[in-house]
Amino acid sequence: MSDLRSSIERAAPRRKKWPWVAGVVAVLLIAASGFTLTRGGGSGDQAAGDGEPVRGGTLQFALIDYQRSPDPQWGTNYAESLIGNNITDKLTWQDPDTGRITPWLARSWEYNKDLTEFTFHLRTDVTFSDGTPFDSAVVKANFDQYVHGDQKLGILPNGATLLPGYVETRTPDRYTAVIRFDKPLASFLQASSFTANAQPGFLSLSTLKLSAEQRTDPTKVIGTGPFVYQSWKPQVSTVLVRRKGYNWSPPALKHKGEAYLDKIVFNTIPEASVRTGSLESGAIDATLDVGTTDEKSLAGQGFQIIHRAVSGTSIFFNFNSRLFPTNDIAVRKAIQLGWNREALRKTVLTDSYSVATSVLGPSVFGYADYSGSVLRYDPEKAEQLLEKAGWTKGPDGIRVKDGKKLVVKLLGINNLVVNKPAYESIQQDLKKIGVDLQLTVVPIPDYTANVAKAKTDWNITAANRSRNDPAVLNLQYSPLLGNGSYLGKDSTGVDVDEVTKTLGRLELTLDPTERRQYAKAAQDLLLDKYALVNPVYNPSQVIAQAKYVHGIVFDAQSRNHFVNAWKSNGR
Amino acid sequence: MTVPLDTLAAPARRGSARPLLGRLGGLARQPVLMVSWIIVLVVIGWAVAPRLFTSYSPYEGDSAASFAPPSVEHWFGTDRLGRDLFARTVYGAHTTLTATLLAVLIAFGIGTVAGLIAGFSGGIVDTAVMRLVDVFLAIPSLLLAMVVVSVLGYSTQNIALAVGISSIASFARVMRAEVLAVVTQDYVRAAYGLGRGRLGVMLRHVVPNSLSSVVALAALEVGTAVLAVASLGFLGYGAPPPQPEWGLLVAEGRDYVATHPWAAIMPGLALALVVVAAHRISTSYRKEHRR
Repeated sequence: MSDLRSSIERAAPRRKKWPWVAGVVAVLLIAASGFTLTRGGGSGDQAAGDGEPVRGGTLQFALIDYQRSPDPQWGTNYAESLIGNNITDKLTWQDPDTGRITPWLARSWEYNKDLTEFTFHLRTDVTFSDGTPFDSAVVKANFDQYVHGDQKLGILPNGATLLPGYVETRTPDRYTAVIRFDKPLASFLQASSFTANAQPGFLSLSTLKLSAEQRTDPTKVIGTGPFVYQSWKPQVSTVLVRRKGYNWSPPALKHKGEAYLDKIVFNTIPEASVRTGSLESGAIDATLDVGTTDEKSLAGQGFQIIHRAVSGTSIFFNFNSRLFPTNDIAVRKAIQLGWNREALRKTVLTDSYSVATSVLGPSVFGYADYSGSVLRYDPEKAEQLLEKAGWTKGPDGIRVKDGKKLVVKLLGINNLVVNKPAYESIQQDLKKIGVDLQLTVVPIPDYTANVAKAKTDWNITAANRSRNDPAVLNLQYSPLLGNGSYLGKDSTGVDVDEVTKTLGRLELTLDPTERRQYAKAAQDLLLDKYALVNPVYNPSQVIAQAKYVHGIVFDAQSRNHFVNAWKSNGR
Repeated sequence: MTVPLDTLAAPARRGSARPLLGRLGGLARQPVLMVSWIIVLVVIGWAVAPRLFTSYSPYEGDSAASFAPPSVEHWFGTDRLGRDLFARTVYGAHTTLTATLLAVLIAFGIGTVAGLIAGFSGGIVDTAVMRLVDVFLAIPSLLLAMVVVSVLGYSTQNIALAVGISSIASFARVMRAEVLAVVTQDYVRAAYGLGRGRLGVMLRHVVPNSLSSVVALAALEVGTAVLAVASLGFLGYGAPPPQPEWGLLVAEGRDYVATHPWAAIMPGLALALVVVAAHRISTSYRKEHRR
C-alpha cells in the first residue's frame, strides 16, 4: 500500500513535466550559440574586388518573411514582392535615383493629353521560360486578370487599387498594347514599373488559367524573369535557378544576357539573432532585415551593410478620424507634437534609417519637409492643445474629458525590426503629456485580420505603403480608395470633399511643376490642416552581405534584383 | 478487547507539529535551502513593494543611456530605450508572481476538489472524473494553455487562468491517490463506527490527512507555473508593452543577444533562480512528509 502510494506521489510530478521546458531551453541555446560560436567566423573568402563579374554559384539569402504563394501578382509582404521581381519582368523600370521611368519590356510609350490612354511598344524578342512569346495578348490577359481577378479560379483583384478606373487593354498589333482608363491616371506610368506588393509582373497565358491553388505548384508559375522557380517550401525556403537565354534586363541596369548566379536560395529565418548568427558562421551569404543593433558589429567583422530607404510613405500612424478620441483634431495634433524625435533617432534608429519629416519619403517626387513646423517635438504646445480642448489630467496622469480617458489604441505590424521599439519610445513620451497609447503589434496575418475591424476598433493603424510616386497619397488616403483615416460624412471638422479633390489632383497631370504643387497641397492637408497622419520614421531595407557578394540591386521601391548579383568565389 | 479511542483518533497533521525554532535550525544546516528561501522571499518582496528595491521607473527610459551594460548604477544594465532592466525585472515580478499565484490557486482549488470527490465517492463518479483528467493529461500543457489564451484573449490574467486549467489534472490525480489511501485507514473506519456521517468523515478526517502531498505539489507547481507564465509571455500571449513581464523581458532581449547579451540574460537569470529555488523548497517539503 505504502509502496503504491509513494510511487503515485512520486510519479505525479514527473508525469507533469512541461514538455516545452525543453523548448524554451532549446531557444535559449540557439540564441546563445548565435552569441558564442560565431565570433571570428564569416570572413570567408576574401573579396576579389569589384572587378570582372564571376558566373556561377549559389547565393544563400535570408529574410524575415516567407512567400505564402509563388504567385507574384498576389502578396502583401516583402518576401513575396522581392522573389516576384526576380521571376517576372515589368513593362518599365523606374530609376531608383532619379525616379524617371525607363524602358524594360516596353521599348517606348506615349500617352494622350487626358492621361487616360497609354500606348506601349513592346520588345519583340522576349519569351517566357516555357518558350511561349511575350506579346500584346499576354499584356491584355495579365492586366485584365490583375485588375478584375477571377472568382472561379479564386484569383483576387490584386491590381484594382493600383489601377483605379481600368477599362481595357487594346491590342492594335502583336507588339503594341494600349491601356485605357475611364478617368485620368497620371501615376499609371509609374504603376507599370511597380515592384512592391501585388505587382504587375507578367505571367504566361498558361499560368493565368490556373487557380490560386494550382499556382502553389511553383513549377507551373511561369514568368519572363531572369530566374525561374525550382522549389517553394512555405515558411522554409524558395529556390530560384537561372533562366537560360534571358537577355532583356532593364537597359538602365546595363546587364547583358543571363543572370550571373546559378541559383538563389531565399531562406526564411524569423529570429534576428539567428539571421545574424547564420551570416557570421557563413551558412548564408547575405541577409535582409538586419537587426539594428547588429549592423555595427557586422560591419566591424568585415561584412558589408547596404541599404536604401523605402520609397513611398513613411511608417505612419493613420488616425481614425471617426473614432473617439482621435476624432478630436486636438488629440491628433498633440500626438504629432508629443514625441521626441531625437530620442527615437538615438535609441532605436541607425544610420540606415531616418526620422520621418513628411508622410512621403524624401526620395519620392514632391516630398516636402515638415520637420520644423508640424512634425517637431513640442510637449508644451501639445499639452496646451489638449488643455484647450478640455482634456484635463486625471490622478494617474492620463487626461480625461467628460469622464472618458484619453486612451488611444494602436494596431501595428512587427514585420520591420524597428517598429516595436519605435512605437514604445513614442508611447513613453506620450504618457508624459497624458496620452495613454496602447500598443498591439502583431504579425502580418493577424494585422490583416484586425484591420478589417479598424474602422470601429482601432484609433491608429501603423504601417507603410511602398510606391515611388506622390500618387501613393491618393491611393492611401483618398476616401474613394484606401481611405486611411476612415473619413466619412460624420467625420467632425474635416471637409471630406476637399480631401478627395486635393488628393485626386495628383492623378491629373504629369507636368512636374504642377505635380509638385499638388503634392505639397496634399501633404499640407494630411499633416497640417486636418492632421490625419503622424509620420514616424522612414523605413529602410538593410542587407548585410559577405565581402564576396556583389551587385545586389535596390530598385525604386527598395526591392532587390539579383540579375546583376555575383559571388567572387563563384561557388 | 477495547482499544482506547485516543490512539485511533486521526493523527495530527504532519509537519506542523515541529516547532518553528527547530525548523529554522534545520534551515541553517541546509545552506542551499536557505538561499532558496531568501531568493523566494526577496522576489515576493519585489512583487509586493517594488519601490523599496529600486528608485528607477520601469517605464521611463533615459535616451542617453541606451543599452548601458550592467554597472553600479544600472545593476542589470538598460534596454534599448534606456530603461533600467533591474527596475523592469523588479516591477515585472508583480505581474509574473500574481499570475503564478492565481494559476496555482486555480489548479489547487479545482484539482483538489475533483480528486477528493473522485476518490471518496468511487464508482461511476470516480471513473468519469478520472477519465476527464486523463483527457486533460493527454493534451500537452503548453498547447492547452495556448488554446485557452487564444480563446479568452491575450492578457496576463488569461495566462494565469490557462496555466491553472492545464495543471488541474495533476492535482486531481495526486489528491485522489491520497484519498484512496486515507479512506482505508483504521481511524476512518473507526470514525464511521462512531456514527459519523460521510460528509463529516470526509471533512474532519479525510481532507486534512490527504492534503499534505497536494500542498507539496503546490509548492513544486509554483516553480513550473512561473516558467509557464513566462513562457507564454515570451511567446507574446501576455501583457502588452510597455508592461514589464519576465517572459516578455527575455523575449525583448533575445534580438540583441549577440551585441547586448545582458538584456536577455539578466531577466532570464532571475527567472531561472526563482524556478530552481521553488523546486528546492518543494523537495524539502516532500522529504519532510515522507519521514
